[in-house]
Amino acid sequence: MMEQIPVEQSLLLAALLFGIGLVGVLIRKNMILMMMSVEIMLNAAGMAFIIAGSRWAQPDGQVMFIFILTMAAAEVAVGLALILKLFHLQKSIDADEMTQMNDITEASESN
Amino acid sequence: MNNLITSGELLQLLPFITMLAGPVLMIFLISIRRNHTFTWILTLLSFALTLAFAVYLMDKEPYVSPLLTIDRFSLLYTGMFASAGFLVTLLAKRYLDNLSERREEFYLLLLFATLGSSLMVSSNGFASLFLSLELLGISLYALISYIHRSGKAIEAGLKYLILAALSSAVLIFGVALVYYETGGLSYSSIGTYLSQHTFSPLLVAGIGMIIAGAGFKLSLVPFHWWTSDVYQGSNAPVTAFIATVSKGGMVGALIRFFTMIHGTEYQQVVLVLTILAAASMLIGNILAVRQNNLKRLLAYSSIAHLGYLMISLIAFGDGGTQAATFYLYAYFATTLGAFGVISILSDSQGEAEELEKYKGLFWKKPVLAAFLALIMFSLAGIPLTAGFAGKFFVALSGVKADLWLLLIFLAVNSVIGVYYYLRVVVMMFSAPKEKTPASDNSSTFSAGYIVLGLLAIIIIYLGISPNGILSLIGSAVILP
Repeated sequence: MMEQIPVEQSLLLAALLFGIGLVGVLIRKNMILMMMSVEIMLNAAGMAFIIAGSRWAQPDGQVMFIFILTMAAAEVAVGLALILKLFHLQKSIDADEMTQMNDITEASESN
Repeated sequence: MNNLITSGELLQLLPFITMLAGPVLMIFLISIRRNHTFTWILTLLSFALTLAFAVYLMDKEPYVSPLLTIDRFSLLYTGMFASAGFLVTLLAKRYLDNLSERREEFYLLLLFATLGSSLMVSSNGFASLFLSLELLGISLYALISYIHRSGKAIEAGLKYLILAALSSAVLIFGVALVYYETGGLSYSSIGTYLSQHTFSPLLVAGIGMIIAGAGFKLSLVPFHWWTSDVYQGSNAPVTAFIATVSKGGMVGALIRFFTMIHGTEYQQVVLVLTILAAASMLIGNILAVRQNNLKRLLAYSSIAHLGYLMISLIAFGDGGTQAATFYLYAYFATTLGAFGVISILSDSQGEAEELEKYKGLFWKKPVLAAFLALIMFSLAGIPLTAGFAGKFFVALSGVKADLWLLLIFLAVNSVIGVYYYLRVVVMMFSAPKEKTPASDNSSTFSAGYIVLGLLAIIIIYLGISPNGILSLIGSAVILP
């Protein structure tokens, strides 16, 4: 019998992955990399579900993981289409250049 | 145990089946032959049938399964979303007529998004809530960017996509933590666990993350950053849809969740919700004062309005849920009306969003201006309008629950609100700067005016005699 990995440690790993993804979304400027970071966060949540499911010996955790996987795929499909469209329009997928809309102070300066 | 759906259950699911059958039929039609008007009529028919079935099922047996609970409460919300979807469809046709091709998918996405929102309210567990939330979310990403004259709509869609995906990741991680602690995904099992155990740190983190994810959808401060850009970037009918149906779905889901877990009995939850509500009211209103763009103004004002609504959510047991639902009705009618006016005034050159465009509107288009003034009065909460009645019931539930701090916030912020809403009204009645030739006779659009007329009747009716709707809402009990 192999030695069991404590549940707390695997949950910590999921939390760590989630944190890496969150930091990625916040500091990245490339839209594709931002989407990848969101995917990491979603998969961290999926992992947490599998850990929780194994703790309670229920299939629910794995079912939720499949749901998350499916939904993430759909999201990426729409997201990549939008990013392509943005690239056609602006020749850039830099998040910092998405500044067509702003609050009043900046808008009045540009006018 | 029998897992097959019986014909009786099929009947109970009819409101949702119609919303699903419409898009499926459209997919087939699109692949054979595209016809804009026919698709449009089919969409209207789907929404009307959904509303009819929802009303019909009100007095029938509720449907309860491990994933969905279709009771009077969820039917009430489904009916509300279907009506809103109906009105948005009426407003959107003129926009789509300007597109040269692929107009039909818009309606498909609209129906799917409404279905997602309705299912959110009917979900009795996090598995179904997550699926319906994403059905709504993914349809919305595409809807926001669907009609793009400039890069604005694409930019708005991408901003919404990244932030919404981020918020669902936060929400679902929170759910995972709650599941890890409680061993159940349904609201009732979580509620049972909470009543027997104390809060562990993981559970606090989990519920906090769920509230954060929900707060994003409701654009509560500090999760409101996307709101103004998305409101401005998408076209007026889509904005109306985001402001009403997508937020309403989350409000309904939150009401059900908190009812099942008795959320407001826990001090920590109440504290977090109080902070969110107070911050949303204050910051939403302060940011709205500075706006010169009507869409952005409405975006910030919607943040404040969701803050008002949160008061009744916190005041839960004391008629709070009824007040929240009533407030939602008033908010739906006024918001749809406001964006209806914007979409009627918009032409192929662009959206009528700058406040400058509304200067002297009364002398050019008196009917529209009078209607927009009614909307602004309702948003400001002037008596005899729906907004006043809504605010009154919210305040009443707050008084019963002794939420004095929040009520002071409500009063102060209503005053700030009156300032910037009336600024719009004053602007419309002031004399126009220069005589612009009345070129836009083409925008006399009958369907839009029908929508506005209907909404005006609803707003005044809700303001004068709210009792009819209130008794309907009062009878909509949430089943365990």
